[in-house]
Amino acid sequence: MTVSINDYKAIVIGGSAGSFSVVSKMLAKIKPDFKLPIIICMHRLKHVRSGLVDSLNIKSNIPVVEPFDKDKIEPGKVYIAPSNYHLFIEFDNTFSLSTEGVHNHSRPAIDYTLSSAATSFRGKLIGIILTGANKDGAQGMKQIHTKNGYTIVQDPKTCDIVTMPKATLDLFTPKAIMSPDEITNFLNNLE
Amino acid sequence: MAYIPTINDIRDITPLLSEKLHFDYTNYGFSFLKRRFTFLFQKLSIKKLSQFIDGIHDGSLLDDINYLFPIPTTELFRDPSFWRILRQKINKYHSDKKLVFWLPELSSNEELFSLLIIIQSLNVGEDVKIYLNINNPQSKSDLLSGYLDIKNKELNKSNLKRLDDKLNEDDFILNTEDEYSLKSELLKSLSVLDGNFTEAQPPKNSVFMILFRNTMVNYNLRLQKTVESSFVECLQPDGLLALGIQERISPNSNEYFLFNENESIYKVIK
Repeated sequence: MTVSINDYKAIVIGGSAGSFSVVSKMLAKIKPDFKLPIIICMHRLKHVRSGLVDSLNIKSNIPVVEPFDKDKIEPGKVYIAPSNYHLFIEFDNTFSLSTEGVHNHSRPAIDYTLSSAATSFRGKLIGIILTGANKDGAQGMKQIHTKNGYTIVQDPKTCDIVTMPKATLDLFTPKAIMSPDEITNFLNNLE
Repeated sequence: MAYIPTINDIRDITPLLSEKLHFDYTNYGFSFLKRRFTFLFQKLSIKKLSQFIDGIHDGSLLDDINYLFPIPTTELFRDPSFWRILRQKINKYHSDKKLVFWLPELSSNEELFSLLIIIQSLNVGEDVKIYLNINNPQSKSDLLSGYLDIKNKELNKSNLKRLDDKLNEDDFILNTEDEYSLKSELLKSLSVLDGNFTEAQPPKNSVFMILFRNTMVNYNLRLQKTVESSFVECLQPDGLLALGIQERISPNSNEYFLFNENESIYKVIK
């Protein structure tokens, strides 16, 4: 099945333990002219403000930034949820941040980012869940699935820790289960 | 199971709340309103929308709404680097005029108590005055009892160490098996303003710094601009507005300029 890039407005990715190296490798291989915004919510240490973005930018073919509250979502950029903030996507194609309580022991919480993206972009969203050590993100992926977005789960056989992908697979059957390389190829081959 | 408010419910509730509480609830971010009213309805065990609306009309729910609606600050010394910079500024301040701070929305005690711990550690209580707005009895009671959320005990301790590893938690916090609170002797230099911050403000040109971190993330841009403008009058000519580290002043503002990029501190233009 051919998936057209014109059918989508954004990619949203969630991951926890082990996902940094997966994301880093994916961004190193993604086409420099990839035109959809990529929004990533990864569990991260709350006291380490810098470093993650710098590390990803070393290898990434697309600029990686941490959005400020009310920033516009622009194509051709990778956005990483800032530490100690939840990241939401609004109907007016902007980000909003929040310091509300932790969800699944996490701030940023993947469920919040994915669910709000599903509400804003509905079927025009590709949701990807990667390796991770808790169930955060599974409900958000289900929201994307329910709103007819395209859902991809990292193949548990390729995960450092399978809890997050398995929690997602327990809730619904995604469009695809792929290895990190297959996910990158899929994104690069969107026409 | 509590009632989950719909988009239309929120459109009905917010003008009514604005009228009763004299603050613009219609211009909070919409997704925030949806989450916050869902939370409020759970906390207050609201089973029907009419129960909530009646409680607003007859005033029986207003104190609870004022207490529960704002987002509590997550921890003592959130962003220790911000507090380090503030401590340096306080330490370097030498004037016969008091250094005036204003916390317009006391959503929880952590931001205020972080400031009070710094003031105590520098022994400059006599040189500082702090205004804060309180609009409900529970917040006042929490303040007077030095309330701190015990869930954040370890986090607060590690943040204090990140601020300055020579500081000793026991000098500031009562930490026993039964109690976890700010020591009462630190609760000085405080001037409580009754009501919300649009109704009750410190004197004109008096404030050195407004601490308003991570509050406007819940507003839309229109309300953010209005609130930023409402702060100008009380700031002293070189006064500062501290926002959260991932916040910016509204675009094209001609009222503030960036003073510290890493900590999102802005200086008023006047």
